[in-house]
Amino acid sequence: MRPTNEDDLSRRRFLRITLAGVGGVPAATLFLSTQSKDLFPPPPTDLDDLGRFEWGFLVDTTRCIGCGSCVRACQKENGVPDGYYRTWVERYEVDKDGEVHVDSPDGAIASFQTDLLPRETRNKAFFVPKLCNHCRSSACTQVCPVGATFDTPDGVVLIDKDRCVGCGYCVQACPYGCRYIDERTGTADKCTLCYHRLHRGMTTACAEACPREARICGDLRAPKSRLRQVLRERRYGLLKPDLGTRPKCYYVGLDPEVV
Amino acid sequence: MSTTSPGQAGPPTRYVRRVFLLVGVALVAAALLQRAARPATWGELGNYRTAGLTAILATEPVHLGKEGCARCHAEIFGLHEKDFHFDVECEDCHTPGREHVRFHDRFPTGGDPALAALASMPKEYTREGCLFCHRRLGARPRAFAQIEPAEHYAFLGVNDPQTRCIACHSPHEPIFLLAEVKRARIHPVIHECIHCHDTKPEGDYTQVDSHPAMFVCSDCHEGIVEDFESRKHSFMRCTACHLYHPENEDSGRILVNGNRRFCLLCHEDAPFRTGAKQPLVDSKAHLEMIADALELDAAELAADPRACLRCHLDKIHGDVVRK
Repeated sequence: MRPTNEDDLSRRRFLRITLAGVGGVPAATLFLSTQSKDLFPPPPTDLDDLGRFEWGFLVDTTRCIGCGSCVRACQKENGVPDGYYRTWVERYEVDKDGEVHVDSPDGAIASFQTDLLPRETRNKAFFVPKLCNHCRSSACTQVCPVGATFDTPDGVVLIDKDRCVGCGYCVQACPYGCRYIDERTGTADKCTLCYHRLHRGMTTACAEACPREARICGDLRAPKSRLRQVLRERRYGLLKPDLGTRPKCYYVGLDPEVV
Repeated sequence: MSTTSPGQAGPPTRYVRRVFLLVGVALVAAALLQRAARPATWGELGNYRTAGLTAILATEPVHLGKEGCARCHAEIFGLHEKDFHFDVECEDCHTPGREHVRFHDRFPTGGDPALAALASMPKEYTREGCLFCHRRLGARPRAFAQIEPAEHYAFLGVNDPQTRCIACHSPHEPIFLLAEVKRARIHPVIHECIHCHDTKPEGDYTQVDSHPAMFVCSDCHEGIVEDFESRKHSFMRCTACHLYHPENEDSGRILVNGNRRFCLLCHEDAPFRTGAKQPLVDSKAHLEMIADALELDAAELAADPRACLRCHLDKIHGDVVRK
């Protein structure tokens, strides 16, 4: 008899459910995020202490299996938008003629499905994970017109997102292609070396996720750190050292093909 | 102050004063303007806003690390730590656990189902997830365990291509206890031919000029290897069972033997394994039958890692290793 009223009811119910759903997820996240503050150690309050560290990074290309765990972990840890990567894994395959073939499908977020070259024509093949080199003389810091990109006292290159005007000059200046403009905010973005984790006594999300210990983040000022230990024992190289950017990302087993 | 000629008070002094005044005002104005235009907290640590740094510093982590998971899942964590997957973080497969831990800290006895759903984590990894690491790729280090799924399934007689890896391989329950590896002795590095060659070359490497010297198993274990060649499993490599664990580039550790669970990776009867060429067994029924026949305790037999070898050792090694 009263189909319209039933319609109204169901519509009202539909709206209620929809609104609860739309508001519920952020509300629940907010609710949960206000609980148990002690899940992680607090960030340091005395900023003068930052200068005691000098963070560096090491990538062991001989151990990398190209699984993409680092890319996935970085994406989740830092809320990196789809299609952009703060770290990614490149694959190099050199054929019998010495020609180099490189790929990195979706930054290797879902690893690699097939080989680039058939077995018979392949001389050597290997993976090279890439990330911001946190250069000591970084081009991106030098070109920023508003002082939004800066070097922290402990040697990490960061971006002040409230200050960045999104001009994109740094994106062009970085010789390693580590920067992008985040479409959501219109500001530049890149690897922070998980700065929020380092000072809570944790390692970077990518280094933690790596199942092969192919990525090591550590303090260059601590002689006993794992990073320094590997740097003492292994032969390593830097990416584009001739540019004078003085990167702090060291690559074990680096091949001249890698750029 | 006045440097103009004393007799002529007037214009020159006034102008100089004006110039000084103007410059002074300009300087003060510039300083005030700069102070007004400079963002708060600028310049405390360097040529940037300290607030920009502290904002990043205050960001909350998302990944807990496996110790965070171990707080509640101690048992499974203990197993995982002994497995070869010990270096694979829980959150690699199960996704970040921050909200999950928050929820269960707040509601130890279970709260709102809608919130619980948000805080739940995927229990199982997909087949593709395992293949992220273990799909055979030319660029992967050769010594790392990797398979071509179709080939692997054909070898094991698995008919259903959608069969998940965890049907046979449990990612938590170690088949090779790492504890045993840690007890194992440092062993010379065993390089297999296929670690460098795409396919096993014909013949003996010593016949090849300038081939680097290699350890092969028969160098030291000649009798055992010779005996093994006549056994049913001779198509397998020694290191398939005597797992080689290269801890670093210079040395490795090697396991004494595989165990019951390892045998059953190939020989357990399962619904997805209808086309198998190898003998299949329903391990539970088989063990009960054997226990009955030999008047043994079935549970004790099932717990024995060498249960299969009690009877079937001759398919692998002969008397040469029994003593």
